[in-house]
Amino acid sequence: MSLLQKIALRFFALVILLVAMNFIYIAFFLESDLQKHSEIINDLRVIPENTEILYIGESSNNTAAAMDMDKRTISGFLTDYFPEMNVASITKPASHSGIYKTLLKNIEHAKSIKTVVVTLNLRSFNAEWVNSGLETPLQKSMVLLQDYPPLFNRFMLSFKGYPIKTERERSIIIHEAWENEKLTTPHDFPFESSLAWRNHFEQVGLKNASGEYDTIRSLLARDYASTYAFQIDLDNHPRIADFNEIIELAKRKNWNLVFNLLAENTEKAEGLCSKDLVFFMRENRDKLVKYFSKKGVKVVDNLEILDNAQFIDQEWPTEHYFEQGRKTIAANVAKAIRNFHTEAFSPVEYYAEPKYHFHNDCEGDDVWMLMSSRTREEAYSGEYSSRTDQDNIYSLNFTYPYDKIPDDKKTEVTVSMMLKGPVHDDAASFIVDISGGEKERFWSGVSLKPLSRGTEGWQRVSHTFFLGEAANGGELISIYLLNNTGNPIYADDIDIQFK
Amino acid sequence: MLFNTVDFVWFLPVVILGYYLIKPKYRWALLLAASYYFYMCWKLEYIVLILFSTAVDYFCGIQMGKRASKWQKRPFLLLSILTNLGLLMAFKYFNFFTTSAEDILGAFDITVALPEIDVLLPVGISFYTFQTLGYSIDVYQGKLQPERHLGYFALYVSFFPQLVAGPIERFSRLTPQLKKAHAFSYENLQKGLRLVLFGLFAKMVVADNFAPIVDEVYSDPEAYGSGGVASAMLFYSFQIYCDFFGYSLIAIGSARIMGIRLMDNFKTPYLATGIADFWQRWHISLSTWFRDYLYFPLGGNRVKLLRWVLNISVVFIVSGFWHGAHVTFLVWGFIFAVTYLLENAMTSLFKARTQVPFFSIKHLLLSLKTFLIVTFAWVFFRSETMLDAGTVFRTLLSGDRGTMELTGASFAWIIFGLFLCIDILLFNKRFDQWIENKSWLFRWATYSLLVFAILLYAGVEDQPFIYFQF
Repeated sequence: MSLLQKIALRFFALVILLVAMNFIYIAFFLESDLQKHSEIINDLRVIPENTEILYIGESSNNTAAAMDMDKRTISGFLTDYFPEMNVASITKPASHSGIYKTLLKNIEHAKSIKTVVVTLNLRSFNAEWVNSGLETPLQKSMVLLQDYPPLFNRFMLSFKGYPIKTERERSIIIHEAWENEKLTTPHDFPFESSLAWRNHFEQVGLKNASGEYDTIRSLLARDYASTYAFQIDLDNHPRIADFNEIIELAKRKNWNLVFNLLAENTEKAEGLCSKDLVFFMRENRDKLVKYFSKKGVKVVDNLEILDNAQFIDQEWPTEHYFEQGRKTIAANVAKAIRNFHTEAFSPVEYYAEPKYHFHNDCEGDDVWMLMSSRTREEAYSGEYSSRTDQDNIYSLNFTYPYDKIPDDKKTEVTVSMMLKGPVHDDAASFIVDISGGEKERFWSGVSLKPLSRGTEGWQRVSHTFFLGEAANGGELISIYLLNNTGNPIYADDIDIQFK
Repeated sequence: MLFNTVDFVWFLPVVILGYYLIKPKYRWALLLAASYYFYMCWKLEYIVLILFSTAVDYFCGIQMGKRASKWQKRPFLLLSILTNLGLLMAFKYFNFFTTSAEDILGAFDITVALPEIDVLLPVGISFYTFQTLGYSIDVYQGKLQPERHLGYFALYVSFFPQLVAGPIERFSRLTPQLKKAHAFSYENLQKGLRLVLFGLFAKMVVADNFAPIVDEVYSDPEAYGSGGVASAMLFYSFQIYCDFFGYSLIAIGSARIMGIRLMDNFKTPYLATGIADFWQRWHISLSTWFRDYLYFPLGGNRVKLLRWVLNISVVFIVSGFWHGAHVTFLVWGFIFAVTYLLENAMTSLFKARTQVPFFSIKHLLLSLKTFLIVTFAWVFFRSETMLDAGTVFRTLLSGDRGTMELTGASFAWIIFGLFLCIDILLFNKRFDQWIENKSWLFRWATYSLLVFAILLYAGVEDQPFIYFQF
């Protein structure tokens, strides 16, 4: 046998071996690997087969504040506009177009999808995000979902076929990008790079009223400068390439495509770093809108739609919005989708009247704090109730901005719940807690023992708390059941009425 | 570029294919380009350091070759030593000295802020500087004729399989092989691939599965109690062994495919009967380097007892310092010096035989003793500070159960048991030699299992080779 034949024979044997291994891998190992390394697959699998509108985004979609009465996601609000359509969402924190691309490629079962809304986050184009430390785990979680034979994907995972960099290396790359990517403007602008701008805020900084270096504002301005002072290179930016792949995918799948350009805190950016920073934000926005619109994508421009008060995080730049902000974004996205589904669109008007009566049947339609306490173990109505026990002593928690309650309804509040369990125990109580503001915290608790009928079956327990002057000026009111009995108590049909 | 990455899986076959396709007289250029590319994949700019070190040592070698007496050669030897140690000093030890100086001055209430160099440590700097240093010393001593072909000399400094973590090769051994017109040989391909395969298994399946457990425990030893710490110490001993052993095998195997034989770096070190024996089996290329270029010039053992004690201590402490600019590495070296000397004294005192029958009870007990000493020393090697090492030992001896459970420990124990058996099986043998005489069915079954294990059970966390940081 010649040398070449000998090698060819062994190579052929190896190929057969690998093919056999691929089958063995699929049969016995793939699923556990997916659960271990690409858990996001479960989010894809739960997308209903009859989904018609799919929203894909990062933490901007599902981050809510404690004081939001309605804690639903942007995609959740979207369902209000299309009540007859099936809307689903995928939310993966810190993700971006590269991740969305892989996830969208893996949605095989939901063939009824007509429209896909993809989050377009301006901040995800900056050097810090492109080279973020979260990138390695994110990219790793995508490896097994690639469109290759599963054993090959496993090979790529084992042999680190995804970008890996240490924190130190990332930090150096980020600083180099800040330094080397020169900023050009048509007007006079004193800094040649975002690093120079950063350094200016670090060294010279912003002054407070007494003319001293204002550390907090200076460092925030520094972060804003490096976060937004960049100019997207449409030809070479990796995010653009990924969005382009999404566009191609949408064409193949016959999806309507909407890019949801998220709102940024331009008000704060201008306040901290002058109009120059907003110039870069607008320039990038214009580039993206023009570029993707040309490619037939409906781009929703939310960049400047929200004022500073709608941003949850005030200490660093994020796209985490309060309820009103999420609703505004959702409304804008809905308007864009209306182009594709005119018939299904139904106008929505939130908050026509100030609310002072609240009800939660624990079924999940009304999102309050501690939704994780919901259980199917018991229910007075519907399928769910809120379970409290020795590990989770708080029930579903009504949390609401106190200043949004009409002034003439702030005298007292009646709390009423259907309860099951040892309610007659002295250690179970209703709590009203009003915090924030300049006044002292208002806290009032009442034991349920005298209020209950002494049985452990379902019973309605009610109590009226006097609020009055002592509570005025508070910012956030919380009302909940506190269970220190050590035994489970279930709460359902929670009713809160201000008078 | 790391050996256990997709990049290398493509890179190696391409280089080997090119190597055998082009004329032998141009191979040096291909290998040099490939080696520089290999290095620049990590950090482009640091290639300048290799080029600088190469240029200076080439020049010094040529100049020394032109001069007859050692006295005339000496300035060029000094230039070579200063250049290489200077590079090491600047990139590896500078901050250690400045912070140590600050600490010492601080003890006398003198507060100074000395400058620090904030750069990434160039990968492999300790290896290639020592390799070129060895060349200069050999030329100075007249053991070598200086290399006149700059290309071959540059290739000797940067030959990619052993560039970043050894084996530290001698010029007289490596360069003639680089110059030889190797014809393609099936035997070389077969042996080389076997070594690469087993090396990947040792690194990716064994070392990389121990690494997360070790990292977890060392980040908070007290939380894992005595049992957790003991397990982590044991796992670390095998993590560092399999990590470096695996790297060395891949390096040796990759070179072997091209017909180039690199020196063995490990010979089942944990079955050594004593510390002296351990150092003849662990990182052999470094220990022989220190023997030839430090221990012998200091006088070796042909000196008075106290001087010999000093020589041994210097060699081990310098070896510790070579690994890193931390007190912990110095202590690690010191432990080996002390145990080496103690063992030597005991052997002389009791006139004990240094050779024992393999796998006799005595051999196993002596191996166990050696392993325990080495495992004890590894605690200092792994800990970032002496305080950390103290916490590890305190927890080990406390008898506490800890509050945390080790994650993935059962799988790690299975791998540990498996590897221990393999190591015993390979005592004083290399994997390629061991499997050579087995039937084809056994061989292919073993290959299949190794491939499957590497694909399926490789640790998926990024675990760079430990010795890259040196």
